[in-house]
Amino acid sequence: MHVCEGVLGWPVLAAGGAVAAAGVAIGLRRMQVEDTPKTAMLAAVFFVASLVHVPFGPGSVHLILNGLAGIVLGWAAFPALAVALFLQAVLFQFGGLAVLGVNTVVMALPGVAAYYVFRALYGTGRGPMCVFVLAGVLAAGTVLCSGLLLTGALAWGGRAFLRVAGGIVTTHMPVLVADGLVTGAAAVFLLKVRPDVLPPSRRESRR
Amino acid sequence: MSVKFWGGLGILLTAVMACEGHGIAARPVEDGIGIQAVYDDGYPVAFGDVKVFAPDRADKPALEGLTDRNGCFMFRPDTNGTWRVTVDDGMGHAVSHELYFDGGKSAAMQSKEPVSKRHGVMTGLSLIFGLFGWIAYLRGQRAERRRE
Repeated sequence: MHVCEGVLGWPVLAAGGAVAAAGVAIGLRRMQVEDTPKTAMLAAVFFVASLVHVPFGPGSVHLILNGLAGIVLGWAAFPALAVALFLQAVLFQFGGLAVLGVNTVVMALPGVAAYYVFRALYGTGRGPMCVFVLAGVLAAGTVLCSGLLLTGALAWGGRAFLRVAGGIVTTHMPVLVADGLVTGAAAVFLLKVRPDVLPPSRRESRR
Repeated sequence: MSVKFWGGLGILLTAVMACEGHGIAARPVEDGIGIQAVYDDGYPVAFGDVKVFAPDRADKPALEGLTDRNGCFMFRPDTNGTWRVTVDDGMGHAVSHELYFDGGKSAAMQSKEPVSKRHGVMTGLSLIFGLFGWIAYLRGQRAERRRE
């Protein structure tokens, strides 16, 4: 789900760059020193996940895992994904430097939204199945929202919104399912091994 | 009879000439340039929308078409300079590539060899952990200074 160089006009690139810069600044400001290792770990997971392709039907799919990064990191997902996307652009020519801002916003903003929804609903049930379903659905929703944001960026550049949206949603259905399953499983694993890595529910943070 | 004969012959010849006037011929052309659009896993972008922008007209495509089933698109430029080719698969993936054309000798502008995947992954992971480790170090130092 990378936009490449030369596809979007400068107003879209400038807006994407400005929003991404603000997101990275907020993320760095809110990131505590003790959060740095998990931020680095999730940046590394995101960086590698999109390089591993799994054969599916006539083509192949790869994980995105921006939902997992968003749920665990919150606003720190912005710097984490910005660094990963920058390295993907420089090392593998995925995306590009001019579109780095747009790609960062497309990937990180839905992740931050997933963080807040997870926090709001986390306290209502803490069983492994509850966490699996919650994290899985949010991860799938994050991929869907990223697709819609990407469609919006392309539509701003003059593409037909519905045609592009239909194509993006259709092709990313397997990714949606795969991301949901992996994120759900990862959240359950964290709940059992290191529950403090998951974000605290609203009630806990009020205390 | 002769009027009918010559009249008929005239009409026939006119028809033949008219047909010749609207006829088309094909001949092979060399020195074309092209691109192959592939996804990052190596699968070709088959039947993707292609737009070709001439060196002197960056705002309006000089040529539009589709990639073939192997993701290839070829054309023959009529002007020397840098031609830009964009390929859009209609599903959110698009790429823009520049080709330099110089009187039949063309070379891709972006001809640098990408890093191999294994080296790229190792380099990327090292840089990620190095960068965030450095950020943690700086923040830890700042926190210590505040305590002092």
